[in-house]
This record gives sequence, structure tokens and C-alpha cells, in this order.
Amino acid sequence: MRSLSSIAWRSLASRRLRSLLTAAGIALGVAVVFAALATDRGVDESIERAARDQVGRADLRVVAFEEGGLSAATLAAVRASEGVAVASPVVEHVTFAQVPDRPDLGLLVVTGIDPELDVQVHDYRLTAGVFLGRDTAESVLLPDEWARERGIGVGTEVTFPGAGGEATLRVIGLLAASGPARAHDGQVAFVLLGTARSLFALGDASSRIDLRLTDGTTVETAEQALEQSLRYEPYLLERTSDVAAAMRASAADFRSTTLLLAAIALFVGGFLIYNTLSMSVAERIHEIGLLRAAGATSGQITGLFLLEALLLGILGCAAGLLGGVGLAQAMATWVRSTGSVPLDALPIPPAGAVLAVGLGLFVTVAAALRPARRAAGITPIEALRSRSPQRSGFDPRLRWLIAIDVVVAIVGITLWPIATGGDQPAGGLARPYVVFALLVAVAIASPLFLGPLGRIAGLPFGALFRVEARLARGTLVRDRGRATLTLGALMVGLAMIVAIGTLAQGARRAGLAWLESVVPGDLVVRAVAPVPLDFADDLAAVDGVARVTPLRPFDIDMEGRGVDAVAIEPGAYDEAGALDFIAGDRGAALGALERGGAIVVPESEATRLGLAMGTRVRVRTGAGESELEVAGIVARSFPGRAGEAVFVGWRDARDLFGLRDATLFAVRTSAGAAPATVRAAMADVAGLYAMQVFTVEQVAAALDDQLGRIFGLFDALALAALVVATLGIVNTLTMNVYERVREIGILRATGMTRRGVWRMVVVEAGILGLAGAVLGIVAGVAIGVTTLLLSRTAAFQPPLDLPWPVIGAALVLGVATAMLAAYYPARVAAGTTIVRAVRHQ
Amino acid sequence: MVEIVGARELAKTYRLGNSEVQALRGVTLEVAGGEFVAFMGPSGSGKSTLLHLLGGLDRPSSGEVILDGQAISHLSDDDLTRLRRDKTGFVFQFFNLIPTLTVAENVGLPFLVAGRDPRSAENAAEIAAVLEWLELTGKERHRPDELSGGEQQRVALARALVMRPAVVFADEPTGNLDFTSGTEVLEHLFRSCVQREQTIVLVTHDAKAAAYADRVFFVQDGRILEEIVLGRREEHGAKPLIDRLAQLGL
Repeated sequence: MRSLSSIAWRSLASRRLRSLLTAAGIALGVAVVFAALATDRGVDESIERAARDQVGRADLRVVAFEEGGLSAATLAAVRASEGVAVASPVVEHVTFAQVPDRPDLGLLVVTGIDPELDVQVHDYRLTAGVFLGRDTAESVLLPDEWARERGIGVGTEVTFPGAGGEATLRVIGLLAASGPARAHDGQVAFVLLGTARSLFALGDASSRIDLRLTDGTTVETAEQALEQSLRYEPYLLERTSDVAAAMRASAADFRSTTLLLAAIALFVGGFLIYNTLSMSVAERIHEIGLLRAAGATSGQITGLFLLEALLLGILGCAAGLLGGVGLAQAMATWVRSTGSVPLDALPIPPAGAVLAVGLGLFVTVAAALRPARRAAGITPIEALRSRSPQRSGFDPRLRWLIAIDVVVAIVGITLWPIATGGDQPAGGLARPYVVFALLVAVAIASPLFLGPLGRIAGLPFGALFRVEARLARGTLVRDRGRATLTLGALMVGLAMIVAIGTLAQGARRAGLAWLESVVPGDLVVRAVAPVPLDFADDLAAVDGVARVTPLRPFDIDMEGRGVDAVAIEPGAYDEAGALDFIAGDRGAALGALERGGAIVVPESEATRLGLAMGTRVRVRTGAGESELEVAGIVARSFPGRAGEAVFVGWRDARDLFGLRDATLFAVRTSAGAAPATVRAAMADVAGLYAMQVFTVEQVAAALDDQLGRIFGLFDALALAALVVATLGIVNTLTMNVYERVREIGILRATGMTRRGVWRMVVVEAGILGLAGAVLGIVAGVAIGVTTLLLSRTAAFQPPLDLPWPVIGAALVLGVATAMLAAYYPARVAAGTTIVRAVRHQ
Repeated sequence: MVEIVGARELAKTYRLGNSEVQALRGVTLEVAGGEFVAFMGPSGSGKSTLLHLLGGLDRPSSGEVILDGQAISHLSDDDLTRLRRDKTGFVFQFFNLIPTLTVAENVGLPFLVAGRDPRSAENAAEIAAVLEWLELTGKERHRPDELSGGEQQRVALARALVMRPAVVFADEPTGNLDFTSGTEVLEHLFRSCVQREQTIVLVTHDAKAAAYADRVFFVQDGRILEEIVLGRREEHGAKPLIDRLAQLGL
């Protein structure tokens, strides 16, 4: 075996360029897989940390959904409930912080806690000063980073505007950026519970109660006990695991898409390795024959080729791992910039490195197995008689590739959660399977189209370079297996770009349609903390404003379940023609909301809760229970915490749920007034309550930008697959040139110029690129549309339009990439010496 | 007699690692239009190198090559390619057919390369005529791998002849064929010389093949050792050449 290993080394060294290109392909695949794993792990850990920061060691959380909060009676009932060990009441209120000479400190969420109880639930780490105690009624704790950025230290006096005037509190301690100090993006201040209650005139109410259970009490048991004893006002029960699960659900699509794209990059790498080693076998048939004649067994020949593959794999994996660390950092930076996926630290997961390398080596060796067995099956006589390189049909190759593909998909998807160390996003795996299946289907079908596609793709080139196009077309169908594999790799890369483009366009259009449907105006005014309803009058007084509609998201208890709701002015929606009714009459439904005793539900919630037109639902209110009738079902609504929000008219919001304030205002400008001008005029008024004013176009642009950033990352990963495919094209075309040296010689002898030969190879690549692009676009659109259909919900209804700019770009990219990849092989071909070529055997 | 191919003090030196190999050492000769000449000699004598230089496939280290009445040593690569395309045809030992093209397409390749449509009435007629002349009618749509060795070489010959070039260069065209197929190819070369008045320059190590020529140049160590004038083949067989070579102790 030692002698064979030296042959393997020499063989790789003698074909340096091809070896390097192949190793680079493996490296890129491994790098993308590793970077995706590291990012995924980072996202998972960030979610875990964020959930821990939010709930600490609490097992359950009782949350108020009414403005009045949870009463002292509720707190007492919670404490008395079976299985509750610690019940820590918390008050949260958003306000400004002021320090003399430092006017712009911004908003803070003032959090009132009982220090003795809360430390049993949350971990507070001090970086300076002391913690809150019984005698610290006029003290406050601030996050270290927030305070230092604003020049605040221990001893600084900070003023908070409260219900009964201002209160000045002294900073007695600074908190490290962990645990509760990370809540609300670190814009949080901690005071004693009593201080917060008196400052904001909250009586004895609590915003929430964090619970620790006694040993041996399960969350389910405690929930049942609480549901029996809590009868005073509506509340929501949140489990610790629910918080993390909700966060994970929001990042699930992102994580499953990165998984898919990484697997595809490696899959394309498999194409490259398979093609390279198949070419190597064809090229070295004489050498194999000589080795066999000299006594090498078929097992040794298999071993030789597997060893070569393994050496390439090790080289590629090592480079890929190094590159993967850099790529992971770049991905993390990009992911953070999207702001929609949590990622605060990027770990280098050892299990991820093992999986990436393992998958890389597995794909390499698996892809090499068939060429190696083909080599081992060559008899000495067959090899020594053969003058031209051997070609095998494409069917066995494709069968083998499918086998590799299926194994990679199963192995990857099975090992993914182990490597990331977190839970696999549920429901996110159906799409990768569908995408893989579609890619394989197109790959299997592509040889059938190769001839006609080559002819069609050759037409535009033929119009310009008739001779070159005719000859190039012939070369493509000469070894259909090789052309199919090369084309397949290109097709996969481009398919992903087109699919992502289709999805991105669908998501963007769905987003815009949603905005148009649910916002009855041209401007949106957003408050960090709820502001009084009469603030709408101040906004309405601004020049160019036709109507201001207050909106208030809140939670309701419907049939014992927590449901998101939003208070609206039905008249404004009627006037603006907003909301897309799919059941019920618009006028009648909005009229019912106006009168009260009715709700309009989004289709997603109607399905989830089993609601239909006319269904009467029981809701818990401050005064007991009420019944509301479903007056209409709409396609879309505002997003809530658990699902989409149910529309409630302001009359019910006030009378049943006691709402007196709003967090959002939709502003419709009068005819002729430019929204941007009105926005500028409104800025001063809104600034009084620290509110921000956006035009709907700005919101749409922000949405578009966020989607663009997420899909941009996916595009970058798909481009990595395209780069691997490009390496494959360089390999294939170079091999085609070496194999056709004599033909090129005869063409030169017959009168073809060097430029003609150069053009012929470039045109060959162009036809390959165009054919690959056409297949890629077909596959990409199929994947994109299928994925959109799978993702469709009542709330997310993306239109199935073709993304023409992306399709155009994929077409240009496919052709240009292939033609650029042809530069080196074309140079080799053009430089061929006629005399040497015609003598070449 | 108008000179169509000629060499003036032609030399060619190759680098082989650190050493130099002199393949040709000052060859001078003239070939007239319509003549059939053969270069004979042992392996490594320089006969193929001479043919490649005369056909414009390679450039000499020194000296001058005359092709179709013009010196070609200083022509640009493109000009030389065009001259080759318009005035010469080549046949090699390995048939060098394009496997993806049919017989008719292989034969029409020079038209294609010259930017002329092989399917135009005039060119298609020329292709059909040359195929008929080489007894390949009925094989037009075959691929090269569906033909015997002799047939493949006749297709290569048809490709060399289809543009009616002034000179056909044949480098060991029978080297890869059995006796019968080889003889057929030589007969066709000879007929193209006689009936189509094309100049034939043949390289061979086989005296029987060389005996088809009007004149035979015996090449050894990069020089023309002997010029043997045989006259038209119709008037002689292989015997005069074999006798003369025997006299020279070759």
C-alpha cells in the first residue's frame, strides 16, 4: 500500500491545478457547512441566553394583560397556590431618565422588584456599588454599559418623571450585562417594588409574578393549581420553555435555510469530486492497465483512487475548517446586521467542526467510490488496448450521485441538532427535503434535455460564432455523463439563487400587501410606552393630517386561552378601505365592531381557535366575563406574540378591557399633502412623548431592507455553491481540452486560428452555462414556488410572481461564470502546438 | 515547372532538456505543382519535421519555406493559418476525425472553418463528389467510430481534398492501416495527383508507399541523403526504388 500511496501522491502532484481546484471545492463546501453550524450554534446559544436572561430560574410566570396589572389578591393567591416556593412580583413601566446637563438619556424601563425575593429567581451581578435593600427606597441600579456610555456612575442622581411629579433616585450600583440587566436591550433600571409603585401610582398592582416551584412539583401541576385559584383578573401563564420556544420558532426558518444551503454547497462539492475522479480514471486507463498487468489487484486499484480522494478530502477539509472560522465571523456580522435573528456571540463548536469535516470526508470518499470501482473493474487487456479515454454512461453515475445525495441529506439532517447542541427547529425540515428532492429530480431529468438544450443554447452563440458553436455543441454531448454532472452543479447553484429570489420577492410583496391591508394611513407613529388617547388630537392638529387612528395591541383571555388583540377605530378602516375580508361583509363587520360586542378575526386565528362567522366567544374582562361575536374574518392582521391579533373596536377596548391609551397611531394625510412633509411637521409633536414617526414607505423600506439582508446572506451561501460549480467547469473544460488535443491540432491544421480555438472553448462554456442557467432557473422557480406554497398561511400569502430581475441575473451569471471559468482551458487550447497535437496519442 | 513547395537551407533545432537536437540541418529542395514526392528515412531522421515545416505547421529555426510561391517564415500566425486553410490539406497517421461529427460533417469541416456553409449547394456537391470519389457514398451520416480504420483514413483524405488544395501533405498515412487499406489510401492519393493535378508530399518509412511518388527524397540525420527520381507511377512499380535503395545500401 505504501507504494500505491506514493503513486497517489504523485498523481495528485502531477495534476496540480485539478487537485487544487478539487480541494478548493471541498474546502468551500466544508467552510460553508462549518460556518452555518457555528452560526446556528451561536443563534441557539443566544436564544438560550436571552430566554435565561428573561426568565432566570423561574419555572412559571404569571403575566397581567390588563393595564391595571395583577392585584394584591392575585399575588396572595399565587403565593398560596400549591407547589409555589417563591413568587416574586415585578412592576415594569417605561419612562424617561434625566440627569442635569445630560438631556438625552432616552427611555428606560423602570423595573420594580422585591430584592429578597427576586434574587431567588434572577441572577444579578454587580460591577460596582451595592444591591438594593430594604432601606434603598430612593436608589436605583443601572446596567453598567448603559450608565458608562452616558457618563453615569455610582452616586449620580437620576430623575424620573412619574405620575405625581418627578422623583430623583441615586445610583447605588451598576450591573453586569447578564441576567435581568440584559432585558429590553439593556435599557432598564431597577428600583424597589414600592418605589416603582408609588412613582407611577400603580397601587399594589404587579406587571407580572415570577414563580419558582417546590421540588417535585411539575409545571403542569402548578399550572392546574393556579388556574383553580386565580379568579381576580385576567392573566396569562408563561412557561420558561415557552419563551425559548417562541424565540426558536422565530429563528427556525433562518436556521433551516442555512442548513439547506450549506448541505447544497457540499452536495455540489460531491459533483466536483465525482467528476474529477471519473476524469482521472478515464485519463489514466493505460496506467491502470500497466498496474494491473504488473500484478496490482482490483482492491489495490480501488484503494489507490480512494486514497487519492481521501488525500484531497483531508487537504480540502483542513483548508475548509480554517476558512470556515473566517466565514463564520463574516456570517455572524451579517446576521447581526439583520437585527431579526439573535446572535450575540459566535462559538466555535467542536462537534460542528467534527461534523463538517466528517461530512466533507464522507462526501469525498462516497463520491470517489464509483470511479474507484470503475477503475478496479478495468482489465489489463481492456486498458492496454484502449486508445481513447473510457467513458461510462451517465445512468450509473446519476444513480450513485442520488445515493450520495440521499445519504448526505439523512446524515446531515440527523446529525445537525447534535452538532449544534440545540433543538432542531420543528417543522423546518420538510422544506429542505422537498428542495433536495426537486434538485435531484431536475438532475436526473437533465440528461434527457442535454441534446435539445445544447442546440437551443447554441443558437445565440451560433449566430455570432457559427463554426465554434457547432463544434462546441458536439463536445457537450460527447460525454453526456460529464456534461450532465458539470451542468448539474451549475444548475444547483443557480437554482438556489433563483429560488431565494422567488422567496425574497414573495416575502417582500407579502409584507407590502400586509402593510397596505392593516395600516389605514400613510404614516405610522410609534410609542415606546403607551400614551393617552387624546394625544391623537395633538397629532390631528398638524397641517396636512386628515385622520389619526389610535391602535393598541393587548392580550385577551379568550375561552381560557391567551390571544393577541388590537384595538382599532373601525370607521377609519372603512374609510381607508383597509382589511381584506374573506368572510363577512366589510360594512356590517366594521359596523358591528363600532357598536361593540363583536370581533373581527384573522384567518390564521380563526383556524387555530376554530372560529367561524357568528361564533360567540367568551372573554375574560376586568368585570368578569363577556361574550363577543365573530363579525368577520380577514386575511391578515397585526403580528402578535402568539399569533395574529384579533381586531376589537375601541368601544369594547375601553368598556370591557379598560384601555385608555395607545402605542401606535395610523395617520392618513389629506389629499395633496406629501406624507414626508407631514412627517417632518409631526416630528416635534411626537417627540414630546418620545414617539417616532414613519411613512408607510419607510416602514416598507425597513422591511425590505431587513428581508434583503437575510436573503442576501442566503444568496451569498448559494453563491458559494456556484463557486464550487465554477471550479467544476474549469476542471471539465480543461479535461475536454486535454482529451481533444489531436482534434484541436487538426482544426488548427485545417485552418482554424488560435483565436478560433480559444473562442470554441469559451463558446462551449457559454453553451454549458446557458443550458445550466435555463435548467437552474426552471428548478429554482419550481423550488421557490413550492417553498412559498408550503409556507403559505392565512397571514402569509405571498403572490407567486416570477422574479424576472433575478431570473435575468441568473441567466447572465450562469453564462458569464461559465465563460470566465473557460479562460484557462481556452488559453491551454489556443496554445496547443499543432505538431505536438497531431502526434498526441 | 512552377515551384509550389520549396525549402532553402532549412534547419530546425529542438531543445530537449538542457541539450539541443538538430532535427534538420540545411535542407534545400523544390517541388513542382502536380508532382508527387515522398520523404523516406528511418525513425528520427527528420522527415516528419520537414513535412511539418513545408506545410506551415511548424516554424523553422533558420532557412526559408516556400508555399504556393510565397515565403512563409515571416507570416503572422493568422496569415499562415489562412494560407494553410486555402492551399493545403493534411492527412496524418492517426485519422484525427472529430468523433461528434458525421462523415459528411468531418469532410465539410474545412468549409466550416473557412466560414463557408458546408450545406450550400455548391459545397454540398463538392463534399458528395469527394465522398463518391473515395468510395464513401452511403456513409455520409455515419460517425467515425462506426467505420473501419481504412474508411476513417479515407474520410480524413476526403477532408484534406475537399477544398481542392494545391498541396496535400500526408504524414505516414498508412502507418496505422493493414496492407489492403493502406494500398487503397495510396491509390487514392496517387489518383488525386494524376486526376485532380494536386501536389502530394508524402512521408513514409515504407518503400512500397514511397514508390507511388515521382521523386523520393531519402532523409537521414536531418539532411537529404539522396534524391531518387522515379517518374510517374504508371510507368513503374516499386521495384526501381527498392533496387536503388539496395544499391545505396539503405
